[in-house]
Amino acid sequence: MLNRLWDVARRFTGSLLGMLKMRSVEYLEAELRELENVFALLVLGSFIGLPSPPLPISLRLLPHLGRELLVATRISERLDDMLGEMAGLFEIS
Amino acid sequence: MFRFVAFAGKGGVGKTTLSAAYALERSRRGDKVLVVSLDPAHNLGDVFERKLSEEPTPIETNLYAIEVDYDAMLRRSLKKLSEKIKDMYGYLRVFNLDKYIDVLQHSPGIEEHAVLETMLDVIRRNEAEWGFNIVVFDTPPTGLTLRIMALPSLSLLWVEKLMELRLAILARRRAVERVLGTKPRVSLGGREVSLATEPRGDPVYAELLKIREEYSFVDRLLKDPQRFSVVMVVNPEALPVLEASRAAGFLSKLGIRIGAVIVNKVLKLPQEDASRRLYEQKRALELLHKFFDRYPIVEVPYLDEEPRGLDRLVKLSRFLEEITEGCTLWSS
Amino acid sequence: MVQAGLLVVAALIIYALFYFTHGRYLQNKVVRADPRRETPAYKLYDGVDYVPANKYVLYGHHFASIAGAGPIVGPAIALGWGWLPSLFWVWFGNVFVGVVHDYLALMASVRYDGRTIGWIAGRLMGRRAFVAFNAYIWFSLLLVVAAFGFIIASLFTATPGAGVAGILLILFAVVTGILIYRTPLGFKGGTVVGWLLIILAIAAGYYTQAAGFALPFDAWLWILLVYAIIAASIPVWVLLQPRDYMNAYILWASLAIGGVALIWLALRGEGLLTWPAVTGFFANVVGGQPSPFWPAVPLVIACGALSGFHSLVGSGTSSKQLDNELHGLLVGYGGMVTEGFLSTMIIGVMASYGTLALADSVFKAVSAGGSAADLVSEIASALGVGAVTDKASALKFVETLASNPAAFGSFYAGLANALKWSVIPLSYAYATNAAFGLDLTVMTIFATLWITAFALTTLDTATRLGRYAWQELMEPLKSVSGGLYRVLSNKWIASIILAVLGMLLAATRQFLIIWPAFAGMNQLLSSLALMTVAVWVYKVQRASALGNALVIAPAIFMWITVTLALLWYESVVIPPMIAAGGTSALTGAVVGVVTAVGVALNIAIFILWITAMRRPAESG
Repeated sequence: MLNRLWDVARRFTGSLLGMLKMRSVEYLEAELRELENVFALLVLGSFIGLPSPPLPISLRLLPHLGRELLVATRISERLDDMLGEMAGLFEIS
Repeated sequence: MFRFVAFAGKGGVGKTTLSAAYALERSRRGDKVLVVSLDPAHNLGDVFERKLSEEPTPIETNLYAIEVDYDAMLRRSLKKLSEKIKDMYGYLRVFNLDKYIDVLQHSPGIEEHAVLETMLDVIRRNEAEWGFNIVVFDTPPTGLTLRIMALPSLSLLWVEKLMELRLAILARRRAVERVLGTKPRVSLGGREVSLATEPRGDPVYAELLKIREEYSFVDRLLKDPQRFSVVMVVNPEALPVLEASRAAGFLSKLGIRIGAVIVNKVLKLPQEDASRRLYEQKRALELLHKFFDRYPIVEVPYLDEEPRGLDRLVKLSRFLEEITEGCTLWSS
Repeated sequence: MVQAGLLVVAALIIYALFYFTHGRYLQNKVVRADPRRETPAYKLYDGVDYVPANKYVLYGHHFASIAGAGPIVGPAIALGWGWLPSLFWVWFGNVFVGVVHDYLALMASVRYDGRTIGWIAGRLMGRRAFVAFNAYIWFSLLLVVAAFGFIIASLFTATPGAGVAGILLILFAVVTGILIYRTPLGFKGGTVVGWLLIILAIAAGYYTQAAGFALPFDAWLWILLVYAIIAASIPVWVLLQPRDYMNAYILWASLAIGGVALIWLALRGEGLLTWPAVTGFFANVVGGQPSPFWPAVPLVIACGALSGFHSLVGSGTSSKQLDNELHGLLVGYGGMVTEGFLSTMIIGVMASYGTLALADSVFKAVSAGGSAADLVSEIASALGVGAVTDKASALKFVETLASNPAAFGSFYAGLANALKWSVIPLSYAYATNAAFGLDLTVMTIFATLWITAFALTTLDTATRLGRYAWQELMEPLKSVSGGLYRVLSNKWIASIILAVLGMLLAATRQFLIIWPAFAGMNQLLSSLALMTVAVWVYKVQRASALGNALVIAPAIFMWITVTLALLWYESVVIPPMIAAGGTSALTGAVVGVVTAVGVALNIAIFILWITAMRRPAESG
């Protein structure tokens, strides 16, 4: 019985801690993603008509930008509803 | 000390001829000189009446020449870039590379990058193997040359900005790592990859550092008045003179030394012949003296015969005495 | 007589009952949640946004995101109708409408790859619905700055110590942030320091208040204006992130302390409800006008019962991190009823210890003199009770008021407003003081900090969002005048316009006009979200007859309620404001126009909705 209680208590604190940790980095991670998005756009902008660094620089950095490209792609998929997405993240209540 | 000079100007003003003449004269005055033609429409081989290649071909004891195959240069440069893409892109769906390469050659930046690369290649090989005191570059038409000259500064600007942004990204990743206890990860093409959180472990930052170093080297060289100089070549016509003054302003802003201005193909006709051409020329020369009063100006007359062959080049170089006398193109 | 603690227990029972019956039915027969179906967290897993989260972690996070100052302030105002109708709406409005809204918005988003409810509305009802959603969001931003700016400034004026603590907390949040994110102290160490700093802030507030520090209302508004503009312009990890994080602790701590206090009091037979259960169908709640409980209650109680913003949070972040479709019930449904529980606790606390709290504030106001004191004498003569001269007579005054339901209904809202809503934190302080003997001033400061912590974060986020929303709104200008567009869409101009407009509205002090407008916009948002999920349930899910009814009935009910409420608001509440001239007219005009646009959109949306419902069924 005591073991069960202890187990429940442990899982409760674990979840609580998890929730708190999630909360402590939520905006940080969102900002990080946006910075990575900007980085991708800056480096690769020439491929979509934006001013960008001289092509050789872009090409030299390109191989290492897997994550940034992924983030940029994901974000671009949702660009049609940015206000809604942002309103969901930056909650107003 | 190795010195470099670039003869710049619109197409057809006489860059190739003048760079050849200058090089010939200096080589006869004791310097070991190499002329490199980067102009896509060059005829350096015709001027020297020699068959030239991409390796230094002797013209005289102290005079050598290189004629760069422009298209081959572009293809080589592109190939190097595309190899980099091919090597690394296994896990991302990218383009059909072969088709893409052909498009790339028209991409803004490829040409200037290729030419700059070639110039750097010459400079490095000069230092390592050849040892020419003076290297004369016959450059492509003004627009491209200006972009080439600006390329190092521009690249450095971009690199600095990107490094700043990169550090901001890494700082935040570190913060997340600090809180969650593990490095942030991303799932790429089915694989879980750990992300760098420190500049030291970040391939992007490392690449940016390398790029910065490379471009800094060039940038420093171009801005060193003791080692690099530009000679502007114009014809005595108003509009080209205006254009040249704008180009000169641009170069000065970049911090690149302009060693001299040569106005080529000046008509020497009797004064009584008040033809329109003379009037235009006079106006152009006035403008020229107004814009370029800070620089040594050399007037070279319109020669009867096409300056081909060493003898005729020597005759042409008589008019260049002001700049061939010593190493006045550079500061001391 | 009823003990407040019983209300809390009743809430727990009612919510639990509905969770396991109504909730399960929705899950199984309407949403048809399938544990084997991949949620977007797996289908679109990228380690970026789409990452599965633990059920309880997500629930806690979702609840902390939807909680704010709303579920506290709304019910506090609604007590003008009496605690019974307020509770009724918080319990049954929450269960029949609120959770349906929250849970289904979440699950619909899960089925649409984590897209937001506005996007889904666009898909199911056409682009105009999507545009309407965004318009509602923008209007809400303006009104929330006004409403929350007012409430923060009011509370800080009433409890200057809390103001000091609040300002200090801004600094302390920055420090905590640096410690957690940029030093080896990290998460655990930084959090401990953060808590110490909160205690330090409360202590500083306590002593400065004791020393007599106080700032006038307008001074606080200025401070808030500067804060909003600066806070919204710095990187999120400097202030917003650490604030948001520490707020979670304050939330759970306050909820726990308050709930346990009431239950403990009930067990001791204390915490009796002394305020009227019902004051009358018409009470002077909205804008000082006799307000019909129905349809006006949603204009007062939003977040505790039904809130459009929740659908944004659910479909914005929670849906992307749902591990398993069956978890949605705890997150969406559970989150909303927890919010209802919070509102219940507030109602309980105020209806039992509000008398003491009001008496305190009345006495302070009378001693200070001014318009609040005048109002008190007015009410005193109307009640036929002696003038308020000391604490004893103040208490008598409030007791008389509380024992006279009709009078309470007429005067409560105006009085509480004039007293700067100090009755809210004071009630909480008295309750916890009665239960555990905690110091009154400290708990007042703590409770004020609780409310304002969330409100301050909202000022920050609303200004940020407003910058972006404003730019989108100015798009049409581009073709008219490029120069004007550039100036207006400049990010500083956009921030300043929004913050200044909002604070100007707050400065008019017409809170009982502004809050209902804010709540009304919120309800318009939720009405649209409800209609969207109704289409989803009816057309895409093809649920059973009962299932459909459980969703469509609330949707129609809310649409009718909100439309009637706002039409009433426009015709009964706004005209007298405009007629009064001066700042009242200004407020009335701005708020009236914004609301009118909202109502017009709402009516247009209804037609879209009917069309969508009658279209032949599709698979979405």
